[in-house]
This record gives sequence, structure tokens and C-alpha cells, in this order.
Amino acid sequence: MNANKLEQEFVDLLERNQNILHKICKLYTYDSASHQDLFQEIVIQLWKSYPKFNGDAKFSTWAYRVSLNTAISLYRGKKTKISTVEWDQSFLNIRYEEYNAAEEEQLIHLYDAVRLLSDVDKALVYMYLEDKDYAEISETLGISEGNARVKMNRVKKKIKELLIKKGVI
Amino acid sequence: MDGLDLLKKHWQNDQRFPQINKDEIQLMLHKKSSSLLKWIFIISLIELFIGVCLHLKVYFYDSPVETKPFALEIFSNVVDALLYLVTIYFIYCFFTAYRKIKNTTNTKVLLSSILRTRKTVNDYIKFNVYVIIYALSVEGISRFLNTDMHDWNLAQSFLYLVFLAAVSFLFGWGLIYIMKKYYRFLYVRLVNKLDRNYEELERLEETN
Repeated sequence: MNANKLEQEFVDLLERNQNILHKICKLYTYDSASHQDLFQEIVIQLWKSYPKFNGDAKFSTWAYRVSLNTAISLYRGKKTKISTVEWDQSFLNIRYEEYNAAEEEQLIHLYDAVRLLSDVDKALVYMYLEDKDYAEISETLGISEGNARVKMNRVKKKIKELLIKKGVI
Repeated sequence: MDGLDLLKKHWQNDQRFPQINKDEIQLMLHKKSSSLLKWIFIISLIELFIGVCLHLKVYFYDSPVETKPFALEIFSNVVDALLYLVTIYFIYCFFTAYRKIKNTTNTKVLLSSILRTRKTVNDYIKFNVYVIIYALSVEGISRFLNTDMHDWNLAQSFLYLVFLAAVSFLFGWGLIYIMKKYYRFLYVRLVNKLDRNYEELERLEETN
């Protein structure tokens, strides 16, 4: 396949699947500038390894793995401390007509709690929210299935504790 | 509804992101990466280059006027040859490790391969610090052996030896101090995040 055709094919696939990248950026960044920054880096990393993508896996599966790897291992991030960042809540995309006031508040606190987790914990949350099974989590992170289960339970507990600390539950 | 179920419901329905069009994606493909790996690679290359320059400088320009005792001369030549072999070995290890880094492997393997690549360079720098300390010691010994001490009494010779040892020690200590500061500075900026994430995955495997 010639270079232009490969590039066009990649651009088409990425355009269709870009929400995978947006969702990962949403977990790992705190403002739209960092969101764009990480998005850009993920695109570069995906493009770099695209010639070796053989199509055995779904593009979306391959893309989310490279995206998570980029966020956890390659993205330099901003130096700002999380606690000092007042993130824009419109960034959360909560459609007010779909949730009542209590749910809306709970959602804001849940996202807030997730943002305080470590990079690895966020990856687990991502895979939980995307309904990935433990075999896939284990394969993506390089830990055993049993440990993926243990880790996931700890992450859920951690989120609950953060919510209790804030007096939400 | 349980908190996480609520989050999951929102997450899975959330598709409202500012869409990037094909032209913008195409532009992004040709931008330069600013990843940690790129910075690690550039800094590592600079460090390797400085190391090699240091050895070449010693080889081409540092021919002392004083003659060393024959045994010391032979020893120095053997050490010089070993230095080049070790440098070549480190450069080989660095590029081999770098080529093994793939962003498509699992996260733990990716983190470990980046950290291994960086460790190769760290080891090379440590090696160079030891080499410099060794060179200082050889220089000190050579100077001592080549100094005309006919008119000196034992106390003067001893004081001179102490002086050379103190200069070498201070220089060596200063070098180690600077290198430690440099690495602490660099570590926080480059490897800290990778190390922390790798440790977290590694600890999980150890404790279960």
C-alpha cells in the first residue's frame, strides 16, 4: 500500500474512532489545552505504529491500548498540581435534562474522585467503564487476571472512600 | 443507582466531544512528538556523545609529558582499550533496548523497556564517573612518582602526597555531588512518572 493511501486509511479510521481518544484524554487531563495536547500525542503514537497494525484486532481495541499506553507512559503532562486546578465542569458533558440535581452533583463528585486516582487506576476505571473483561484488562496492563480483579476492587473502594471523605455518600 | 453505575451510564452515553475533522488529523500526523520517550532519547544521546567525546579527548590530547613507569603505562593502555570496548558495549545496549520499545505492547512491558533503556545510559554515566575518578588517581600517582623529591625530607613528601590525594578526593567528590544533583533534577522531570507507574504494577504482582 502506498504512503498516501495508508495515511488516508488511517485518517478515515481515526476520524470515526476519535471518541476513544477523547474519552482517554478526558480521564487524564484537566483542561482543554492539555486535552488537545494529549490527543495530539496519541495521534502521533498511533500513526507511528499504524504500519504494523495488521488488522487482526479491531482498530478500536488497538487504538485504546496505544492511547492508554501513551497517557500512562509517554505523555509528559503539565506540571500543575491536580489540587490547584479548577477544572471546567462543562468539560464533563453532563446533559442537565438527563439527570436530576442529586445525580448531577454525584456525577461531578465521581469524576472529581476519578481524577485524583493514579494513572494506572485511571486505566482500570476506563476499562471498567468501557465494560472490558478481566482477561482484556490483564492483557492491556500486563498483570495477571487475578490481580486485575483485586486491583479493580481496590480502585472501586478508593473511589468510595474519596466520596465518603467529601461527604457525598 | 450505585455511584459507579451512574458514572458508567453517563460515560457510555457521552459521545459529545468537539470533533476533529480529517484535515486536522492529517496535520497532526506530521507534527513532532513531545513524548517522554523522545526526551529520554535526546538526553541519552547527548550524554552518550559527551561520554564518547571525553574518551576521545583523553585519547588524542591527554598525553602527559611525564613518563609513567612501564608497568603503569601498560596498565593504562589496557584500561584505555577496555574503556573503548565498554563504551561500544553501552552504545550497543542502548540502541538495542531503544529498538525494543513498542507502544503496542502491554503497559508494564512498555514501561519496563523505557526504564531499561534509560538505565543503560545511567549506568554508562556512572561508569564514566568511576573512570574519571580512576583517571584522577592515576594522574595523582604519576605526578607523585615523577616529582623530583631529592631535596625533600619525608615529611615534605608525605605532605605532597596528602595534597595530591586531597585534590583528587575533592575533585571526585565534587563530581559525584554535581552528578547526583543533575540526576535528581533529571529524574523528577523524565523518569519519575514512569517509575511510579511501573512500581505500582510491579507491587501489585508482588503483593498478590
